[in-house]
Amino acid sequence: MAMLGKIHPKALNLYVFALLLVTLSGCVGGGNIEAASPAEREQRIEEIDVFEPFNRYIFEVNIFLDSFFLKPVTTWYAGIVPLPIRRGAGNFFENLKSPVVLANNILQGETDAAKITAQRFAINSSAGILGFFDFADKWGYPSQKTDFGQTAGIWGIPHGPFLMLPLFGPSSLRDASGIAVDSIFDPLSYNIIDPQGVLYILSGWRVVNGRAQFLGRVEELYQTSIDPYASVRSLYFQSRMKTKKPSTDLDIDDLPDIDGYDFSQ
Amino acid sequence: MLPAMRRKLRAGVFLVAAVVFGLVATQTRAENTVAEGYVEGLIATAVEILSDTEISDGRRQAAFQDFLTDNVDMKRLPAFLLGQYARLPTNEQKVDYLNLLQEFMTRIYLVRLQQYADDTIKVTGSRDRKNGREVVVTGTIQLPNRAQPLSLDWWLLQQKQDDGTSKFHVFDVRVAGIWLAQEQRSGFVSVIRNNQGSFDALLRHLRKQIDSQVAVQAQ
Repeated sequence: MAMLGKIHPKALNLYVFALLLVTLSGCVGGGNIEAASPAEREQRIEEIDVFEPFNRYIFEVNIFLDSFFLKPVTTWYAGIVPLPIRRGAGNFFENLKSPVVLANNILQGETDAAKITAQRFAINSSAGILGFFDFADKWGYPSQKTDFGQTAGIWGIPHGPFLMLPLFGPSSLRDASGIAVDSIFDPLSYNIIDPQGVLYILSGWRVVNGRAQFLGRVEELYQTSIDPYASVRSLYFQSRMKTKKPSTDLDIDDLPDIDGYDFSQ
Repeated sequence: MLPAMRRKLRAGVFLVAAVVFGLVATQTRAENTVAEGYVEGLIATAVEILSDTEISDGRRQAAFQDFLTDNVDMKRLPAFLLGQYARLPTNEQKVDYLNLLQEFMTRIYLVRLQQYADDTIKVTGSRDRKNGREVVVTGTIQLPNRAQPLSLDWWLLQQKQDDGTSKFHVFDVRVAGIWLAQEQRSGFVSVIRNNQGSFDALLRHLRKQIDSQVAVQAQ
């Protein structure tokens, strides 16, 4: 309660709004991509992109903003900050998000994952010097990264319409609501650091450091895709497909059946 | 006597089952080892082509195109990339599409893979699907800007050749959880759909993309 007292008053309205959106996603339905067979998925993804013309417009705006602001700043940052420090900063911000991950591990009923997240936080915050070093991973406690969008998916709430959010990028009604819910557990959402300027610096640093990992990728996408927007949408849903397991876990039974595709016939 | 015979029979059945199961398991494992070896060979060849500093860009591209032609499944993949529009093209359009697709793939994967030529790729295992007709070989790639390696998987199809032997072909590659052919399919399907089902629109887009690649590489 003491912590809730430090939440910005407007933030509480945002959380209530987010929960309403999650509920709405459930009511809208239609976006239950996880439940679709691999063959049906592509069509479902297209069906839930009901705001496609507007989403494409926001996509172009995001690309414009990125190329004129975030990318130049990130290029400068990557040029002067050595790679080990950028990696360390990435570990630090991931460690800082441990409360978000822990809360979602618990909400998903994943007690083993919750235990590992708590152990990771304890090890990396102490031996890992505030999380700059990820010793926990080396010692057998791998990252259990998850978020409220995935929690809502496990609860059976479908994605709802696909959304291209200004600045945030690809999302869905469910996952966008999840961003707001997750911020309840995100230490950077609270006025617990004084002076408050430090909080803004940390938040900005997190964005720039995260973008630095993808330098060159946007250009690569434009060079190698005949429809970058559709590619981003596909990348988004592929990475969100697995709700319980990390998206990198391979389930060979989940691969589409390709026997029907044959150009030699 | 009868119970003793029954015991012997059971033991015999168990022995035969164990031998058969063992043979099947050994064979499956052998096929997987072959698939893993095939992927290791692919990596070595790709790295050799991409990191050879003594050949011109034109020769590198030609070598890479031969490499893709030999190793990428061009029977199922081109149709898969069209999704629900796989039966849309006429025979003439199919020929154009296959030629453009080969050039498109050569150029885009040359761009994509050149960034990874110096990174460490390891094959870590494999899993059979559909009685070994399909194999997914699993591995990792260590990128310099990441602390942890990314997962890298190859979806292989085993196909009969004209001479009766079998050969693996790559159907799709998965990097950090993302299947690349599935990503490309979204683009192809989207272009056809947004042009009122016109297959020629896809051919135009492919030509345009190849031309822009040529322009970028000429700079």
